[in-house]
Amino acid sequence: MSESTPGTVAFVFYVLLFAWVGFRRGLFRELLVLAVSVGGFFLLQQNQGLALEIVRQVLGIVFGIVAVGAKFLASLRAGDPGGSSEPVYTLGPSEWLSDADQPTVSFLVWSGVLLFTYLLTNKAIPDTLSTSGLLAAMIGVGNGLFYIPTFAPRLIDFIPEVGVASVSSPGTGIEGLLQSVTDMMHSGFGDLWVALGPQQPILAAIALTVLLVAVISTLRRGGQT
Amino acid sequence: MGLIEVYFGSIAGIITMIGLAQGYARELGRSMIIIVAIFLLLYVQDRLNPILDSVWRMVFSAENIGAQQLFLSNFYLVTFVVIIFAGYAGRVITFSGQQWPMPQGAVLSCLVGAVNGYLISGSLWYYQHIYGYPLANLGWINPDLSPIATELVRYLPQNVMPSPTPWVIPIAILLLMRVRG
Repeated sequence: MSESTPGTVAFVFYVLLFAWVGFRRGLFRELLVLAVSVGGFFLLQQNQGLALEIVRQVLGIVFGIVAVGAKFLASLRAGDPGGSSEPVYTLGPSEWLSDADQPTVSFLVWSGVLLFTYLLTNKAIPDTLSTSGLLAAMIGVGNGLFYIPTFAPRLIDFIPEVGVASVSSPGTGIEGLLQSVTDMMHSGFGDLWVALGPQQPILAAIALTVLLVAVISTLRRGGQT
Repeated sequence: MGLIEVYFGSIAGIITMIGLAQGYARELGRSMIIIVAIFLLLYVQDRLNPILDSVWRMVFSAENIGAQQLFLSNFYLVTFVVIIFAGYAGRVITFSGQQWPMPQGAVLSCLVGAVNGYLISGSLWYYQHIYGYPLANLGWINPDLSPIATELVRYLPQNVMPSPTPWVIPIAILLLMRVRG
């Protein structure tokens, strides 16, 4: 048994887990999650400043409500319901979130949106609209594979042995988007691809075949128009 | 002149749009034709190149490496494009059954269209890449690869599967599925 065997087993287990999740949830739900996760990730990477500003605005409203509530409670205690006492809450969102927090905020927003999409698609999309099958399992695996390069660099602090390179900070516009995609491919799948070694072509051929067969299988089932 | 990845990416994008418009039931047949074309060209490439070299020397009797590369590159490009054009313009192999309705059907059409776009655009790029971007001599493309393009070249179809043998797998399986109906 080689040193890479546990890693291979873990990877296979990970892939099977997401295949099972995809199969259970069905194609439409998994496609929506894929669109939101991939689209949202790259959009947020391109617009980190905007994301931070939106979060600041939202937090500003929340902090404002909390401040008004706290002020009101404090005034009630002081016997002055008119609210003329000093505000008790002074920390604003701009002090709480600096410009250096842009990547962290973007990642947290993305994670939140992703979790929300999983929950929403589970509740809002009926089983009849989201068909289970090989293709759904494959899209589920696709989702799982996308999470490796997005989550793994952040987990490196918890697992120091993991040697995953961090995704570099992207530029702007189409070029920045392409750079993000290639960075992610390289950092997330580059090592995995290299590890496949001489098996790369045959595995690529199998992946292409399974993808096309999965799509054909939706035709063969047929009934819907 | 724009970046080469944008140039070939646009071609892939247009083919994806065609896939979306045509529907994945038809696009699957085209996928098969594209894979066959890639297999055939990879299979004959090593055998045919010496013959093409000889033809070039007989006709032009010149040692112009640039022009020779342009000739070889254009030969494979034109052959590939003719096969693909026949696949898109003529009757294609179709698979029985009906497509899924919207929106899942549209997503699948987009997916198969994107696969076809990758295979076609990637092959066109590959036949430029291995012959040193001879179309740059005509001013059609920019041969200076950006870091992104250098990375993407590793994932061109013929670089991922450089031997013709693995390409037989999808062809054989798809043919079996077609014959079984």
